Amino acid sequence: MKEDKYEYKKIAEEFYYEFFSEGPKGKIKKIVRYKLISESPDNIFNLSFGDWNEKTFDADDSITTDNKDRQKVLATVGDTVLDFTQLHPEAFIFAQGSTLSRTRLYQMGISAFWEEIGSLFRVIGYVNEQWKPFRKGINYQAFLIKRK
Amino acid sequence: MKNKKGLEKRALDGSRTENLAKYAKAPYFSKKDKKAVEFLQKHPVPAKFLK
Repeated sequence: MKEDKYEYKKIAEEFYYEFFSEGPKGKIKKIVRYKLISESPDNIFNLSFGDWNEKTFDADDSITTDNKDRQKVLATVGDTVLDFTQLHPEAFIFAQGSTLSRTRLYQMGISAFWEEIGSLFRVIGYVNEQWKPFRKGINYQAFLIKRK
Repeated sequence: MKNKKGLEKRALDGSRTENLAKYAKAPYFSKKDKKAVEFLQKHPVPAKFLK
């Protein structure tokens, strides 16, 4: 993606990506992780994304970091999707925030880069008890993404 | 010099292994996976979208 983004480090064998958000609140470690959660009939990987807390040894996506770099962070997460799906072109990626507002953040990310995402990926979203092809401006509960 | 490089590489590998171990134990990730599995069981994706 052409958008400004952070460089990430990858732990490829377990599908973890690490990068640091940098802004007025300091340097915050972010983790993106893909985990195979379904193998039949298709491989579905769950995308988890959150701030890493070195004190609790846990991640969290409920924190509002407010590091004034939301677009850059979303672009970096998008970049990991590109990398992951280059390695696993048949994979479906499931994405859902831990709250509706977090899921909306994913939706904003997809919408913001839709021109590029839509040309490379098939995206469907779950809304009103149905899975439907992604359209901007709809509040979905979850997403499923696959390379075209 | 070669030894120094070897040590540096081992240090990097060490931190990588340590991080991997930390992340693997993080409850957040297992909770998210469980939630995702439950969501997909409750709301299965129609076959037409899985082609």
